[in-house]
Amino acid sequence: MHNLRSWNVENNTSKGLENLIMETISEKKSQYGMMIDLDRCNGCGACAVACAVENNVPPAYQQTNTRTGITWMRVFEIPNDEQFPQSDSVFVPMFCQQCENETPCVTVCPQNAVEIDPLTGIVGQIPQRCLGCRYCMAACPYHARYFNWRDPKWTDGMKLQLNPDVAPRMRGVVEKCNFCHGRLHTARQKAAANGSEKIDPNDYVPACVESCPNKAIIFGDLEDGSSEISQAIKSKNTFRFLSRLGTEPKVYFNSGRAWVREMAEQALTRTKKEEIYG
Amino acid sequence: MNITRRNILKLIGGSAVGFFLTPLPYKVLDDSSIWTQNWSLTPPLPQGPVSIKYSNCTLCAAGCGVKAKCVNGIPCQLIGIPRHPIDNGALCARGLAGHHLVNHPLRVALPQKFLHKSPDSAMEPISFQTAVNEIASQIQKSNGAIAVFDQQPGRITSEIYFEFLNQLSNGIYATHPSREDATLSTLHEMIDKNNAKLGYDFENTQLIVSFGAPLLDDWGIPGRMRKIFGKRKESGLKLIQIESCQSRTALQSDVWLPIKPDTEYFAALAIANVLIKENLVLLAALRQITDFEKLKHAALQFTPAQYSEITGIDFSIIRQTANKLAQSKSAIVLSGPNPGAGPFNNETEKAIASLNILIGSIGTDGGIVIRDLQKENKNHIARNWNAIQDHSIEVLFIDSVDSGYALPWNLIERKLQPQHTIISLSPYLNEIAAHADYILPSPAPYESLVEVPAHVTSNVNSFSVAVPLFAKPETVIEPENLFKLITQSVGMQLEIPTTEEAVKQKAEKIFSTKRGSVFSYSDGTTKPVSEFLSADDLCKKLFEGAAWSDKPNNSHHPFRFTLNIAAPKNVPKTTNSLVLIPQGWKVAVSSSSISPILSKLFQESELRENAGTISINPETATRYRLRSNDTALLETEEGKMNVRVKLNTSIQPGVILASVGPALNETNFSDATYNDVLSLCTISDHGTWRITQAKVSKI
Repeated sequence: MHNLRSWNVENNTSKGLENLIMETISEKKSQYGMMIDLDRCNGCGACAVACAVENNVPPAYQQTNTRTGITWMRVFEIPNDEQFPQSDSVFVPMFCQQCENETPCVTVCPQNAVEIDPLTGIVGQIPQRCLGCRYCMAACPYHARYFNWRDPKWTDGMKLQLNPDVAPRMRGVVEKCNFCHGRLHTARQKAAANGSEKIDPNDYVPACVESCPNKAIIFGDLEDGSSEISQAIKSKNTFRFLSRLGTEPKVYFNSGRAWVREMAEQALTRTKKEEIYG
Repeated sequence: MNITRRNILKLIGGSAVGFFLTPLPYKVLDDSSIWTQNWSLTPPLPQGPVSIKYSNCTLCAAGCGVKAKCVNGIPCQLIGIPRHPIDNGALCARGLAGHHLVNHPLRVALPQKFLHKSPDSAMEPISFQTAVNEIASQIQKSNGAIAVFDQQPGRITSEIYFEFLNQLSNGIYATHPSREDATLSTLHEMIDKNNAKLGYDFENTQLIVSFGAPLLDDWGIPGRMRKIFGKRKESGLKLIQIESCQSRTALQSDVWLPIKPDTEYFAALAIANVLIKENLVLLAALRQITDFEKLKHAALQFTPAQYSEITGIDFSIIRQTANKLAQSKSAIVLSGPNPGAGPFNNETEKAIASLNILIGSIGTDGGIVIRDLQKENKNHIARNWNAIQDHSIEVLFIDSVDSGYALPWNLIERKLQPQHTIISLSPYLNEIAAHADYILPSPAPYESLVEVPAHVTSNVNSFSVAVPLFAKPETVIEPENLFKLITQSVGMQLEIPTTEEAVKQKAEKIFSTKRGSVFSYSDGTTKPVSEFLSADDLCKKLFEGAAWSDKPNNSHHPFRFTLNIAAPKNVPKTTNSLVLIPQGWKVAVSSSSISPILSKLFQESELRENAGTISINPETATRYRLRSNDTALLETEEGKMNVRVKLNTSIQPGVILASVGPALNETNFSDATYNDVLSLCTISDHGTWRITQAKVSKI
């Protein structure tokens, strides 16, 4: 992004205003991404709970089920389809994969309620603009978007325990993971207060990363060659889900197990046969 | 101009087409998102100063350090303390939402009295004084025993219970058999001088053989276990998991031995068989055992082929396991039931514990080490709940602290006289409290000062304090204050210290030893105890948020062991009927012990199963004509209930894994949707309910 920084008026006195040069500088672009080591993840669910607490995602109603629930971070247990005792399974935390190219939810939204921040690469959802048509949910290949079928509900006491940095969403809008955008704002404000334009990586850590007891999630700037994530994604065992779609997701996974890497190209939804027979 | 019908139709048609060329429909579409907004129905966000407080989680005995982000002094977010020396800065999923428990929908706000004995009977509020008078009257006229059931002995409150009961002629201070320290407490009973507190030296071990212990599913101190296993590539640690189900721990183990359900006893004896036959038992260990011949007789009773048939494991694999145990530089063998399934029976525990003695892992680095040598603790006199005579208790107090493991009501009920009075001190209307006559609510987690001693599995002593993060409501009463009122009402004399006084005494004791160091939560620094100026200085630091941890004991105490292992009488019969195994997740075995936000893992995803769900192998499902998401009838000798079926290829054919977990959010005990699978389990004389013969059929 080009920002107006200063007017270069060098030598303009002799040549007039026509020689006035507007100097622009390119603000450094970040591409925030994540990498999850599936061999370390044991499906404890700490990431999903920390995410819900951080982002004021309400608890379920009695009628809520796996299809109508709101889980920005949902951990799936994927079996290897072998029978006992050769069976194996892997826990896959699934959330918005922050697609970079032809982002499906952005292209289908009639309301411009989904935008990609050019400075961070984060796909953001703007609930105030959302019409609730759910095209984005249909378009998302990762099923990582959730619709508020009901008004959010907490007990009276729990309302006083909401995170003051994140607004709850109303009934009738779609929501999803935004890499804890509230924390990004806080980190930016802290950096600005310290007279810096660049945020300290330690100040911007999403809740799931912070809470993972197995240290299975790495977060950072993919554009920064020295960052831990930039190094980690170079591993030969690193892969992305449904990469064949060409949406260039910024969430990477890692596993030493070949069947897990192969599974990444399959759809995560169950077939009718799987629904019935497991 | 003559206006014809055609002109009117053209105008209408043209207007209709033109309308879509104007911005109006798109504006309508656009604005409808604004007109339909209902932001007023979303709660306003709390506003006020943001602060940080430090405390310790008390949802289980691990007592992990907690950093709380507060708004207006009210915690809105919890996170672990980075670099914490005991829990490694990790909080489990339940701990991350532990601050919601003060506002739990099942919280009992006032002291209550049940109008009649039934879990769904009506309750009416009662004043503390009236309740105390009625309870005191019951105690005075009681002919049967008066008992306190404490699931976490060793606390200051436990001392109060003990002192109170000690003054009564018919008092029983009871506790439940250990779960996470089952192997340690079994070894404790085998040791000639039982003044040693034992712990696992996982940090230095090379091999762990686990009989069903969910080591990687929040067992013990979750952060400690995750740190140890997170570094296993570097440390070379190997895990052999012996378990009938492919649990999370089995999935992440190096070797998983899928044994037949409830044959752990025989698997342990089979390993002992190899160790003895192949002269792999250490000579020094042999000299320590007073009744080795009894063990030898038990282990050699069956042939390898018989062991293979009983356990379902090829004997060559058992042989390999035994050889690995004997050859490993350091090794630990331990047991630990799934939190839903109850403990192993005594014979199984003894067989598993004795393997540690045979390989000489007691008192060695990387084995089972002495955490502390101390004088006889009064709490060791706590009676095992299962050892209490049936139908003997007339007045029963049930302490509020939950062990995090399932507890069937039937297990409590069998010890009660027909005419009994139960007083629950739980802050929640949970499965056990629902059977009480009185609920006198204790403070919820983070509402009162609680001491956090070392975890039972820990290899070093530690101490920290869970300071309250919330103001305590006036309608709850701490157990020590309740017992103060009861002793006054009964006319007894009992000096009851406050927790604050007891913490100060503990700080003085630590200061006087000058041992260990104190880790500060606020700045992450560590300071040796010797550098504190006074005991008050140390105490102040503990209240601000700090953890004291001792150095490893490193003492090598010569022990002698009496194993007292009986030879197996019967070989388990193979039946065609299904086997029901309850399965749960530590602390989350009840709706009341977890935040409603945990629905993200249970109800809103398929990561964990709510109560009323069974998982079976597709092969079993085909046999009983069941399909995924069917509603089925689950029947045992104890009763029947409707369950939802889930298929899972990792479950042994013939096994039904029944979830012992929370009900759906907003479910009350009186709701038809609430199901308690524990009530279907057969409870053995040992007080175990690990397997039950069951039937399942499609509705």
